[in-house]
Amino acid sequence: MTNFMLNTTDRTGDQIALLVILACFPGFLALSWHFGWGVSLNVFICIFSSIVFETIALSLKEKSLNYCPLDFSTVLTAVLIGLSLPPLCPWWLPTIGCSVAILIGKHAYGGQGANPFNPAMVGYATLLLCFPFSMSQWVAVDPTYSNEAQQLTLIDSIMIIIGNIQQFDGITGATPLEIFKQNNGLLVTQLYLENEIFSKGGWAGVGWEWVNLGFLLGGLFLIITKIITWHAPSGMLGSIAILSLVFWDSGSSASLGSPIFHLFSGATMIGAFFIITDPVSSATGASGRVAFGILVGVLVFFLRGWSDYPDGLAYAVLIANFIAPTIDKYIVINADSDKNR
Amino acid sequence: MLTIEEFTYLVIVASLSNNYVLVQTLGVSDSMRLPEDREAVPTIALITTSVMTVSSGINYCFEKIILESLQLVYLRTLFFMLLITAVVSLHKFFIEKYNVCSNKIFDIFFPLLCVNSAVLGIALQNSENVMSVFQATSHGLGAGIGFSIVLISFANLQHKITGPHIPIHLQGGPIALITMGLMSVAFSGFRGIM
Repeated sequence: MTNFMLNTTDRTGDQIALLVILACFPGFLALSWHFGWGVSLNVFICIFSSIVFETIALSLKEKSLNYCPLDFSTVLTAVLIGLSLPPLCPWWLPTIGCSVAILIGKHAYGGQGANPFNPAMVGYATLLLCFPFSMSQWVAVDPTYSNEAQQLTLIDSIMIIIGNIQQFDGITGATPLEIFKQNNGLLVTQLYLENEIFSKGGWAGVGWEWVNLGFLLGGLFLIITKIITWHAPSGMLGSIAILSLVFWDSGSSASLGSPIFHLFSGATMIGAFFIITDPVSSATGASGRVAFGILVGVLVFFLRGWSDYPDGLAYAVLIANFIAPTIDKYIVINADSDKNR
Repeated sequence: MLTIEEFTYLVIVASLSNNYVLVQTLGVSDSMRLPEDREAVPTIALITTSVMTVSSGINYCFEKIILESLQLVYLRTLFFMLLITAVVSLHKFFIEKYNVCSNKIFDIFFPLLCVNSAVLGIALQNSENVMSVFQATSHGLGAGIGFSIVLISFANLQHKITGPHIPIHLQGGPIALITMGLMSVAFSGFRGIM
């Protein structure tokens, strides 16, 4: 349970993981407000199945099962997967994701503190590769907050998740990033007028802007309490902002979206503050973390702009995890690596 | 000739979205066979990139000029392997003549480079997919860059995937293949780059 997050204070690993889970709360509230009960159910299924798989893995390793069910780092991995999955997805999707994350992403490499890849993103990327259809079924956000999904009761949501009600197709819609990906020659202004998700929204699409604002708030809380440092998030957000500014070209049909759109859409903020700040799988040292963040930001923008996927944060994080030891070796030769740990 | 857009496109596609090791699974064993002396890894990557670039150009010319005029295209795999061996020997000759790096590991590295399936794979794909020798060469360069990214990153990752913390049944080859598999998942994110 060592070195989970930046241990600058004398908090234990469990306390730090608990604080990170608490910091997810504003983003979780915003997600639940816009997408209904599906978010809470996802998180619940993820936590439950993660604890089950963690127990299986520990018993396979013949470690003493002196295992408190409230191992918060496992719960944190589960919460991050649950928050990134589409709400109202079938129950087996989070279960498979958590099995891959815990068994392959974490315990195949020796468990807590030894994983070269971020377990949550291992699970998410595998799901995105194996079940692209289920993973793209995001619940539509209604600008007037009268969406069917938002009015679904808890019982109805559970019925949809376990597959007893087949009314799922009617309540899904394109996310802002998908709208930009499928833009067929429209100017950005026309795109904004045509789609209610932009025209009724504030600055980056109804719902998504508040979700990202929630995660930004949580991230700032983590920085203030010195659980994470500012280096990796500022590198990632800065590179996304600069790249989207370069490719903005004042809104032509080939434009990839404004900087404010890219910063407050998709998984930008949860990625910047909650995923790439995992010190085990990211680079070490201040300049290494900045370089790591810049690498993730460049990859995210590149994948959003030109690949088949509307948002490729999981892939970007995995590739950056793979390159992180190289960053450590060739970039971080400064004395500040120990000072800022 | 080649425009800068074509060149960038070919290099990005060959190095990322069609990465020879992680997407097309060619040359996997060569990217995982690391020398004892890790300092030699960047040199190996550089030499492999150079061999891929030069041999893809030479192979393309040889096929289009000689094999097609003699109607011997069905023998191209054999001739490609001979030409690759010649290119590798040329590299070995120059490296030894100018004493670029005097390391024992290159004694076993050069024979293995001749049978690197990625080098042959580039030549075979070039004969179907590209239009000119410039495109063939930039395709080879991109493939070499992609190979180098994987080789160098994998070598530097070694300290995280070796050691007593890895479960005993997964130590060595299995965990290396799992790591490569996860990287293959990650590189599938580049799918569709046009």
